[in-house]
Amino acid sequence: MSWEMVAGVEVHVELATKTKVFCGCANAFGAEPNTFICPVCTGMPGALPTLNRQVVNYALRAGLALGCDIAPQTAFDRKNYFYPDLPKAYQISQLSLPICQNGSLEIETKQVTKQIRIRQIHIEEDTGKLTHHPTQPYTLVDFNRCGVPLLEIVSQPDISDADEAIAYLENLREILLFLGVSDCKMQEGSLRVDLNVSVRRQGSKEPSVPTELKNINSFQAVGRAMRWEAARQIQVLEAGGKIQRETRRWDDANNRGIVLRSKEEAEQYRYMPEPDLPVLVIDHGWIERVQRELPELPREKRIRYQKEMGISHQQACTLTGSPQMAALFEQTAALCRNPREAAHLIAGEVARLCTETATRPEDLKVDAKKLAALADMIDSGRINRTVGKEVAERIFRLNVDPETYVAEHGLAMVSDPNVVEAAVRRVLREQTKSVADYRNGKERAFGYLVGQVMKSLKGKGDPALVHRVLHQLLDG
Amino acid sequence: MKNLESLTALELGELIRRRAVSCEEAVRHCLEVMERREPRISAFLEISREKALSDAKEVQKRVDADDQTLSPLAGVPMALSDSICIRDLKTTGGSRMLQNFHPPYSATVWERLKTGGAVLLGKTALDEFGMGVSGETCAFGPARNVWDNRWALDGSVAAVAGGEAFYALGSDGTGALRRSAAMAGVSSLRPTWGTVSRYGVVSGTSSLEQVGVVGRTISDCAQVLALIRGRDHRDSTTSQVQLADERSSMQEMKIGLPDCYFHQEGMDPCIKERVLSAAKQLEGLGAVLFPVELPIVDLILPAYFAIACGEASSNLARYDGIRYGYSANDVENLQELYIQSRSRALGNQIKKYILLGNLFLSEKENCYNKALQVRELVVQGLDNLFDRCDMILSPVVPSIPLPMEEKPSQLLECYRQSAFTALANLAGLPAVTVPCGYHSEGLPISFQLIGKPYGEGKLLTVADAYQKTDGFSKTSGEVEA
Amino acid sequence: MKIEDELLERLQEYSRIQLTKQELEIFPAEVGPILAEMDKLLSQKTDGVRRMGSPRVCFNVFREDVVEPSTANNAILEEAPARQGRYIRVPKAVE
Repeated sequence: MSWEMVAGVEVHVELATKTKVFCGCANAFGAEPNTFICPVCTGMPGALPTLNRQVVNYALRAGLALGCDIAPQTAFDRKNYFYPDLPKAYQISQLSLPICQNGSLEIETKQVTKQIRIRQIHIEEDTGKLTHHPTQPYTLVDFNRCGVPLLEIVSQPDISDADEAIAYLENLREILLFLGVSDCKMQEGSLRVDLNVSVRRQGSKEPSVPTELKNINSFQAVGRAMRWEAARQIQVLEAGGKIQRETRRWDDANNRGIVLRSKEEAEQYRYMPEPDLPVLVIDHGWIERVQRELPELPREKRIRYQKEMGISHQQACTLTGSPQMAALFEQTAALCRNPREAAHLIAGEVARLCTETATRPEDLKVDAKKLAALADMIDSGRINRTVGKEVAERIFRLNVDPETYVAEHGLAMVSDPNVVEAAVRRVLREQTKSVADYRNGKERAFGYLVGQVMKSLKGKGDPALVHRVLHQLLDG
Repeated sequence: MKNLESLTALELGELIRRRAVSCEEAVRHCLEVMERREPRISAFLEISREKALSDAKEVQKRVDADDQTLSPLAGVPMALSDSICIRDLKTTGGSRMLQNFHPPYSATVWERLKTGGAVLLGKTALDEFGMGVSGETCAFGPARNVWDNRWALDGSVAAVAGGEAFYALGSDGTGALRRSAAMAGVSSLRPTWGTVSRYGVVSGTSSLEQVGVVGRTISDCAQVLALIRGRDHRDSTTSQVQLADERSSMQEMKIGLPDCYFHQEGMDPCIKERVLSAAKQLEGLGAVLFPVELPIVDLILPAYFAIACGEASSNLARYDGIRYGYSANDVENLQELYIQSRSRALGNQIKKYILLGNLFLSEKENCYNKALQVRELVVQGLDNLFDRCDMILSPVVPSIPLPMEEKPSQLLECYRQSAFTALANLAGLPAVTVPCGYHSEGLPISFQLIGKPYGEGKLLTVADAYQKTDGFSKTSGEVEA
Repeated sequence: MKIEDELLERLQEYSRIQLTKQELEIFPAEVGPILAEMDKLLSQKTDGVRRMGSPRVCFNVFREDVVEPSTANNAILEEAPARQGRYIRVPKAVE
């Protein structure tokens, strides 16, 4: 009697528009509380919403990239409820006519490749932020975030395990990043995940009542929450009980879900059409325009890099780690002779340096022209790869000009066979033990000897030439 | 001081433009009338005496400099309902909930008038959040009818009827503006929905609400409308403003008389007689009158009321004691803050609208959705109706409402008294009310013309033609001090 | 349609309003006639008829994505009944 999981994911994405969805206040993060507020987003008497065109554009981009049908007519509704972070006591959202429906996203896990269907995407406004005092009985409210545009992306319950959920989220996040519609940062709250988890006996068509899980703060927590909830439901059902319709808050520190409210008690939202906003008519012309301007998606890029430029899959994945990294690669590749060399430099050195210096993708500022010049120098054998790495680091940290730097530091590759031979002979004379080791069959000693030769050539030796001469003199 | 009492706003505006009268003189005249009449009619919640005089001086400078941006009504003293926000001035919406509220923004309608040189005398009383019969539910005491102060009135109407202001703006969310104007012998104009910006207008309703104009004549109202109408980027529902019909000729003007309105139960015979008499006069002026049937007439009133309550329950939920307005400070938790702030500061009547609204929005008893569908049927039906006639003529109210002291159920009274005003609210139609006589009990009576969307021009043609030939247009001159 | 006690309780909760005892007593009878009218409304056939949230449908009215400086922010904070620095303060919800 085996069980399977039936789960869906609801993602809220904060759109990276300049202004809020229904007023002209700046859509910005990290300012002093209650700075970017106006009568509209604080629900003052007689204030009225005005729709940001860019929000619709971004929603269309997301919908088209996810293969959705775009509603020819879409409208807004009010969701009425009382909460201090909701100034009008209603949230403007979309209930009856969401802007996008029936999309899908392909995912790949170790077990399976499948499509996760997307039920709908709709536009809504974000609420303010509450800070509950830990001990005193009051709460502080900041409306900077109130009115920030959100896309709510709801999947069908096609997800069967935590790996699928994580793959779905990773793909979704990647696409939204590359579309430029959001910076998708879970830790900053621009990407939020809610789960709906239910279980059923294998072979049965009827899943149990789903439990909603909120407050999931990382992709890994997604996995933990899903597994815990599925286990909980199985335990209840195997003991003959029934699952109640509930919403639970995920407590990651203690690895459990805590009941927030049961759906029976759920506040009635008393939805009504929003009388203060127009209906949106989205014609073919608009859709075609957005479609034409859709940027290349990461998966397409990876395929293209591999097919057209002969980049390895591994490198392609690193290069599409962020839209900024991909842009840097494409700019560099366009300017240099050998794109594979650009790939080495960026997927290898630049990526490593970003991690080391904790550089955020949006702060990546490396001069593609300089990288391209460096790539050409390596490709043409004017410097060796080791030197290349050193120069790459200098470009990253200090923005040096590669030509100048190489010249100033005398880093040109040493390819004069006489000089190399002399260095090899010197090393063979000095490193008698290693030579003996090598002659006795220890292959590793060869590598050591190469290293010593390179050292004596101050790292500038032509590696191929050094190998050849060393072999000649050792084996010959 | 010249006797300005019998002038219309347009006439005074012209005298000011010609410098025959100064802005300051005009204001002092009004302030003097207010001193005499306010004790009896209490039209104003706030009188901006000093500001009015200093504004008058500013406008005078512009008049003297022949400033071309001045409107034909520059310098004419006027009043605004306290539903209309003025930056940094107290705006209460007629409610204790906002008794100390100072909006950091002004309503678009005020900004437009101010640009043209309007001089504000003060803010007038109104039904709490604009929802009531005719001003009775103002939390700070209703304005009274200058004709008989046992009757309450919307404050903007009272101010104009009492000769205190030459014109005023008010809210017509539930028709109180028109009903009040009808009982006070002044003219009123409710524009097509979406013609005048609602930004900065405190109101319980959205799709039923439009800012209307009260004046001594329909021509005055028309001029004010011209100054306040038009697309406002702060109100998305004002986008599709089309030019109102050019005024046309009375000849062959087709006016429909809805049978059911004149024959409904409880129709006061005196009102009916006066309105039909006015209709005859219009015929004499060249109009063609014939009976018409309104689409789904039995459901117009309930649909409008369901929408009014539903929207009120949503629009008024923001009054929660958190960001502005009255806040109960003796509470221990959040829910108590909501409940105490709202229960204490919201008036008796408005609470009922809110409760009913939540009932109508609830899934099981969802009259609200039904009402929205009935609206569609009515609007469709009206398209056909307005193919056959240019406008409808009807009474404004079915009967004189009971005086203030005989406390009827305001809720039921508002429902019943909306019998003829509801159509314009529900379908967003333009309407004018025109005085046409007096009731045997002494109060004035008016008839109403309801036009098709953007059909203000024709309404004004007919109303204007009537007013030029009747004796009822200027009332305050005849009212005893 | 009639308003029973339980329904009235729920409506007060949705509205965050508490009627006084007198108000509670008279409310059902007062609104009775109006509810009878609503029954009439509910009995109208409206299959397939669209819901008009406003008397006229406007289409595609947009604001461009250009920042309008939040010049009223301090004035808005001035209106708040309870503050702590630049935060607005409310009593805690009971969990």
